[in-house]
Amino acid sequence: MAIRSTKDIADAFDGGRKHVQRFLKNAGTAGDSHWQDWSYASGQPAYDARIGDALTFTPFIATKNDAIYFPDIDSNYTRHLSELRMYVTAGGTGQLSVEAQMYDLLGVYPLIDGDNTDAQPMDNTEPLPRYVNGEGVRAILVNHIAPAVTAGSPVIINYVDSSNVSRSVTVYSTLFGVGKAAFSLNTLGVSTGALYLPMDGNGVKSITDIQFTTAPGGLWCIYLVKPIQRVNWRGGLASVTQTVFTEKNICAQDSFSLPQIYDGACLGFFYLPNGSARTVALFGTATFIWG
Amino acid sequence: MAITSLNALIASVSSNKKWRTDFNKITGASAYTAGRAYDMSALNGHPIANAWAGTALTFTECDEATGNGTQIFGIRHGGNVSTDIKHMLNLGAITTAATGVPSTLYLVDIEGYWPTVSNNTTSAQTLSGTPSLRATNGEGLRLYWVQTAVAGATAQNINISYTDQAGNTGNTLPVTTAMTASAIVGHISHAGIAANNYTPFLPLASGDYGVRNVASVTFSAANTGTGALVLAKPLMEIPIGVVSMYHNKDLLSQIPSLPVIPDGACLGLILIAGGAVAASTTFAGHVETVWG
Repeated sequence: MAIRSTKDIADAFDGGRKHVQRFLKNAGTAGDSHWQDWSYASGQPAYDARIGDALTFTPFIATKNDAIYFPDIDSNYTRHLSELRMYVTAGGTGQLSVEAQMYDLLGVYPLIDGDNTDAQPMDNTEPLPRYVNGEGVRAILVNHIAPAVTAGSPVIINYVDSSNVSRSVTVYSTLFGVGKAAFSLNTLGVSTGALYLPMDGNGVKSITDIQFTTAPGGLWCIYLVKPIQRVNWRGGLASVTQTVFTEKNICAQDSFSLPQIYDGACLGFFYLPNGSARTVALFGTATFIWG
Repeated sequence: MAITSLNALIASVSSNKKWRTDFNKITGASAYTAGRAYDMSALNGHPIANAWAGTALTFTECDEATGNGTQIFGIRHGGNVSTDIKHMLNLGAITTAATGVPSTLYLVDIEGYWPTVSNNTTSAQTLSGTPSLRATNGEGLRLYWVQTAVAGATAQNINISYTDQAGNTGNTLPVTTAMTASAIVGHISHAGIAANNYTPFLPLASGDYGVRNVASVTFSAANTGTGALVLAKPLMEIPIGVVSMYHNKDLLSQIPSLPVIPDGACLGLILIAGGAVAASTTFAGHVETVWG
């Protein structure tokens, strides 16, 4: 079976094949115009610093409520995200908008040493747990555990794309802070808005190695994620901290392109506060249907 | 019959095949905690409070006309209309207190509950009664535990043995599910942001999407307090993001469109607190149905 028509969607709702999951994350690190992983804040899903064996691809397969929870379903069904609702508690009156990108975290290469200027080869013994050939998979360079101390250090990342072609990309370190997508296309190490590494190809299958040609310091991590859905929260009201909910009904507002959610998907958000250097808290629901 | 076109909808509305009920509920003397969920059927206001009447451990069926047999606590939606089919047309909600936002209200059809289940034993408590369900085969029905007398301070996990929508008996919760120590009355005790909390419904075994019946409830540790295990079908949700602003959900143009409200549905609300909700906070709103 599958969700292929409006009737399939209606039947899923009417037949009880739906689940609405509440999420709540408390305020994270302050920072304007920097993408950050909500995992580094308390709440539910709980705090997780994305740790594993250094330089070793560590697959993420969600169990229980360690990511946004959804029920296990029979194998003859497919599961889809049908709606997102998000409310952002602004840290101040200047917080007028927040972008939020839901991801399925496939795995991480943790504890990359920012004091090491040698090429640091990755251990790819474990394959991608979902989207196994890497199509549509994107990579994010995150500064985690210990902050960088030098901006603008060139970072060379060699990787294999979804067609098994070896490629390379160079970016620059930033001082955005722990838990944030911490790279720049600018040699000065400053920029805003970048979340995914600007890699060629139709997706990333694996990371081969990483090299800092000058040491930025700190500890780093590369995520491999499948982007799921984006919510543009525009709920901030000028001069007050009052905000409103943003609802995104994917049926009605995104051309019925309900993203499929695979078993074990490790769902979370990167979010980008705009408007001022504020912390934000995130509250909302994700609706899943299957058929 | 059924509403299968805009013409049919307009004809129904024009011939008074519609109903609106306003609700107005006020939370109790205790504040609510961010991330937790609370039953609103037992709150004072309109409709009247559900006092969880019934024989201990025995399924108490609920419906629109008679409530639980003692309190008619459901939000009225226009009575039985068969052979017409009734749909939810729109839903509205507002809170008058700044601490009432952000929050989300879940509208549920309460099929019934098993009252006066004790938190204070580790023995399996056998539940009785065979629910006569509005939801075919229990499809879409979920379970949640409402604390009806304050829980003590001892940590405990809950497990149940239930019959799923396919008739399979002896299913249990697939994961450790933690109750909340010192949960207040009205708290859906397994709902929160602590480890092993699930909000607002108990997780079901892999592949299950409904519940026909429950055989027993077992706790991992004894704690004082009692609760009701509720069997209900979630129908829709409405978020409340701004204080003193009326929020409206038009269910004609949104998906799911025009959810079906069966004859006898006993409509209740669950509140998901996005922040700390002060005591005595008012939540009001309305439901509007149409049939044809």
